[in-house]
Amino acid sequence: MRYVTTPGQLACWLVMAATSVCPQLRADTLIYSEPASSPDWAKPIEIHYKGLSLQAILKDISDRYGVSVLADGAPVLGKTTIDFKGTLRDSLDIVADAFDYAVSVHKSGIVSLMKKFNDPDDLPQLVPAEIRQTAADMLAILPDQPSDTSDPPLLWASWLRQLARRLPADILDGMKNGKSYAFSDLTPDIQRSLADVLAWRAFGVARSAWDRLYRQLDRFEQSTLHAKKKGAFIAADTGKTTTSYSVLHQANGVNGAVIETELGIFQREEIK
Amino acid sequence: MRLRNAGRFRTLNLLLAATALAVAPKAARCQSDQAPSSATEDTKLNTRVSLALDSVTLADIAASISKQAGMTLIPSAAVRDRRVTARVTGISVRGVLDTICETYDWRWYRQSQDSYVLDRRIIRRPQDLSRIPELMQTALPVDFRMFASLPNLKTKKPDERTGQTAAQRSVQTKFRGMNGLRSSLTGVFNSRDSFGVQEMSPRQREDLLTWLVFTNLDRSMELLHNDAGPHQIRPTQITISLGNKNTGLMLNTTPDVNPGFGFGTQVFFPDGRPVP
Repeated sequence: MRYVTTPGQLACWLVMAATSVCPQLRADTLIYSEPASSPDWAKPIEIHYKGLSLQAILKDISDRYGVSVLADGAPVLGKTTIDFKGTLRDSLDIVADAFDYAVSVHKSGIVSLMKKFNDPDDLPQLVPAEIRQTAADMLAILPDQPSDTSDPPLLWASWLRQLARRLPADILDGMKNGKSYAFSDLTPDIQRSLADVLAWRAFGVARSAWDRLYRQLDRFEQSTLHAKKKGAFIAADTGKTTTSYSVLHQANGVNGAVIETELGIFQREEIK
Repeated sequence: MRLRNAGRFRTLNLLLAATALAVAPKAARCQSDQAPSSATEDTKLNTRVSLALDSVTLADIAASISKQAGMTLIPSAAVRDRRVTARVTGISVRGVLDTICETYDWRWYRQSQDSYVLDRRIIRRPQDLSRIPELMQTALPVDFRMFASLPNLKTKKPDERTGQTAAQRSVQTKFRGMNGLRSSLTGVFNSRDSFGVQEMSPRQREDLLTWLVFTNLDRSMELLHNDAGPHQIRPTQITISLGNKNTGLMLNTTPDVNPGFGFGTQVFFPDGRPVP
């Protein structure tokens, strides 16, 4: 009996073993080759673009050199001028960098362009449904804590003041004389309160913020801004009345929960 | 001798197979746990598609792929409105889906015959609290991770504090949204008391979302950056004392915590006892 394995047998062995345990890795996944004709990244090229948008430049590079591209969002910079001589890959990097994007080449042969956010005016995409799901995921990750949707969320500080009122006189006196107390020096109920303060400060701040955002974006398209009267004054010289309004964003969630967020104070002159 | 060599070879084969299996799930990371039911059903994933779409939503991309490949690709509600530009020529559906998922850290999976779903990854609460920063990073959309300059938590040094700069950027951004909204709404509320989001211009809508999102995002930077903070310690690693001329109750870390930190709040003592 001879156990001799040829390289071909070895390859089959590996494929069989991998696909039997991980069915997603079917033979067509393992051996499919992408793309049909991969661009020659080392090919020397010259690019001259005058006052063109990222989209126009990507279209040209895609058409001329067979590069498949996926670019996220839209750049802050509308149009630019680029003159460059180098490899195809370097040229793509230059174009991407000009629009504040980074390049990644994927196994599929597609190139993806993601923003680098070096431009202080640039923002991530603000898609309400995606951000709301992000908030839901954050709430799934963070430990359960009572929610404080005020801004800033400072429930832990309120708890700490309540804890201070329950501290024994000898500990208060000691602290006033500059002494500090270890956790083990405290009574069990103070220890529990301290642990609650610590846990809320650790996770409750972030959790409350995501909870608030989740509610603010609940049925976002149906949400409204309201002007709420705060006060008024009459100018002595002109007799005109100027009224101050607080503008609030109000979201009415699917479960009937209402959350209001103050956006700022506005003034308007009453028209008589 | 030959048998002994053969035995070694067999051991080598097993080791190589084990290595392949260890790597396999990573290669299939973009896909779901559901296995495709048959190779024939999967052939549509090998259909080569082309896309020439500027600044469209993922829903538009999915519609184009579905039409070309004779299948149904469903983007979930959470991902369908993200905007992209796609210039793709002759790439398989599987290649396009893998690239989208690698780019956005999403997943795709087969829902039923010829029907596939594109979605965010499933995130569950960790057993170990120390994994929370890592999972929060994963939950954040990829462009937000870049915006917030999230560090690689595997290589970040414990005493590095990177979250404050990101929090400042978040705060500056929220004020930009608020200022934009204020200037564009001043006239609106001269003549009415209520204004629906659906009536807003795209710019006003973006300003409102900017204000709402970044007001909340900066509260998570300490965790997202895993900066030294309360989430890293146990209650037994805390001492209490008075600070700020005896008006603040302080929680400080014990000397064994490195890097140490403290936090507290104002507590007043008008007659020897603290009051709220």
